[in-house]
Amino acid sequence: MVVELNQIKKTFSGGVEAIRSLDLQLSEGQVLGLFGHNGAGKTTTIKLILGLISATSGDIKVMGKRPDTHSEIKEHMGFLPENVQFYEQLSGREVLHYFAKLKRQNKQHADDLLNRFQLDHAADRKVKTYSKGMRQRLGLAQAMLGEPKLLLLDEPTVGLDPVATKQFYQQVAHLQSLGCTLIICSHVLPGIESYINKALIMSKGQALIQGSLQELNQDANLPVHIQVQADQLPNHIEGEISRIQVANQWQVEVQAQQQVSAMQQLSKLAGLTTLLAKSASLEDLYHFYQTKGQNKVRNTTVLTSSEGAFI
Amino acid sequence: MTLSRPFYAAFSRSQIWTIANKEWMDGRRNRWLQSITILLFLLALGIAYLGGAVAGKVGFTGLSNTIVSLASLAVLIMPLIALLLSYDAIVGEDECGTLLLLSAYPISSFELFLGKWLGRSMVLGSSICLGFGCAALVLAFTTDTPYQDITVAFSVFILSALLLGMSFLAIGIWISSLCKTRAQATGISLLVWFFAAVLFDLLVLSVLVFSQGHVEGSLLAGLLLANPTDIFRMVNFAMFADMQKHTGLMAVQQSMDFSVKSLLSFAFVWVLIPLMLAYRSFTKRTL
Repeated sequence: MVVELNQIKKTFSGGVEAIRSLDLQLSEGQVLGLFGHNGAGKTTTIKLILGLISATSGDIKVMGKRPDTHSEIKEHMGFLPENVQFYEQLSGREVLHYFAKLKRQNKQHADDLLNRFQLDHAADRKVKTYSKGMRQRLGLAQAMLGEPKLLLLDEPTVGLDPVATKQFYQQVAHLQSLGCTLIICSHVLPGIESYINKALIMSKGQALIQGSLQELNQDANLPVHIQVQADQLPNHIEGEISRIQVANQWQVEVQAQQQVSAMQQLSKLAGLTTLLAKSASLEDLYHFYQTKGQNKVRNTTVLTSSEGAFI
Repeated sequence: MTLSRPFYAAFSRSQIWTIANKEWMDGRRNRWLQSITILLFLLALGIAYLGGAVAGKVGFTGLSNTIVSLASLAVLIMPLIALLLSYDAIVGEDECGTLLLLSAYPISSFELFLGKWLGRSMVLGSSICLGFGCAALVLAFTTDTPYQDITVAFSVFILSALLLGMSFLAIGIWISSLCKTRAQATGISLLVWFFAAVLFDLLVLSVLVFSQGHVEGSLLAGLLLANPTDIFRMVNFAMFADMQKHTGLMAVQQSMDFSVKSLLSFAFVWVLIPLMLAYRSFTKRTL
């Protein structure tokens, strides 16, 4: 296990309960998406794993050691904080060389990372002149110094354009293939689904749910949306919950379990031009669990996690 | 931030120099180093050549006049420069988010703190030595004052100015470690400067006046040693004890017999204590 959190509780000196109870296990090569509103305890969780603060109770093991007392494991961790502003009066290269030195890496390694994040052409310009996206790429390059075994990224795609976001996720996939474990904190959900293999949704200092997206989908049992374009729709579709008609186009909501039979039924329609099924997205799941969590503080559901990618 | 065996951590795999070097680079990049050097150089030369104008004299009016006038100006400017150089050392990095980032790096808080202090001390120290040193060189070449006198007078003056600057640098870092925002640190730094450089002497003088001079000598000595700016003044006035133009508190100080050496040691203590307090506040700072 790269990260192990057992019944973590963190209360700050002012009496604020940042983490009420949290369990988490991450093995090598897993990518965890950590989701939640502001103040849900995401950043506190990251600080606990980095060893910047100590837990009030419970055990934390990162690469087999307590992070708050074994600072040597920091050499194998990479971190990108939310809203970091690098030294504006230095050039991108100088910034990265400085951080590389602090991580005992050579300048060549830092220059390679500048190339990897397409900052080589701007490397000798002052950070002051960088766009938001360039700053974020510099931050990512910084986090990847020393090929860390565990990478913690707090809102890594904020300010990135769609192309840069995609490139970032490709980097994530690449790092994962090298055996790096990642924790990605985000409330920007679209695009992240296919790159994480575990999701943890937090609210008010505890996990609402954690597991793979497949497991979350099964647990939530959210309806599937089918888009149909045909001459006429049958009066009853298997597992149907609702339907909305616009001209000869329909949006049909069906029970997730009946989606296959519903699709089979619909595929036989006369004049069928479109038949498209869309299962619940991560965003839908997020809203589902957040609403559920608000209705009652339920016990944490921990599903047995399965390895590898899904979807 | 963990702080286990700080000295061991510092000397075994030290990153102090990496951080100090970055601070030094910042100091050059922001033009702090260049501007402070030029400012101090012009200040010293200006006072040497134009200081006599007040008394109706033109040109260089002698070494003792120069040092005493320079000291009375430097006592106001030195602390201000040092505080300006240091008030954002910690809180500035915190506001940018890089303090949080640095604490996730394999460096100890001791290395980070000492590196920051060392780097900024290098900027201040180089400016003082270069600015005043060059002024001394100009005086040596353009006046007929013996080289030896200039060397001794300026060595002591530069050393005391270094200690004065360093103690306010440490105080500035202490303020920076305590404050939550840069704006707060700016305000507190200005208040500290105003109190130490301006108000303190006025208060001590009014105590003297109201008690009609019936203040015990040891109490007065203690009061003067409790302020690094007064120590600086005493060092530079003590060197020219024959001077007639002592005014204010320094006229009182004449009757006390502190040696230059003991005054400099007190000034050194004034560097160390704020620095230790600053480090303590820094380690207690919550991220």
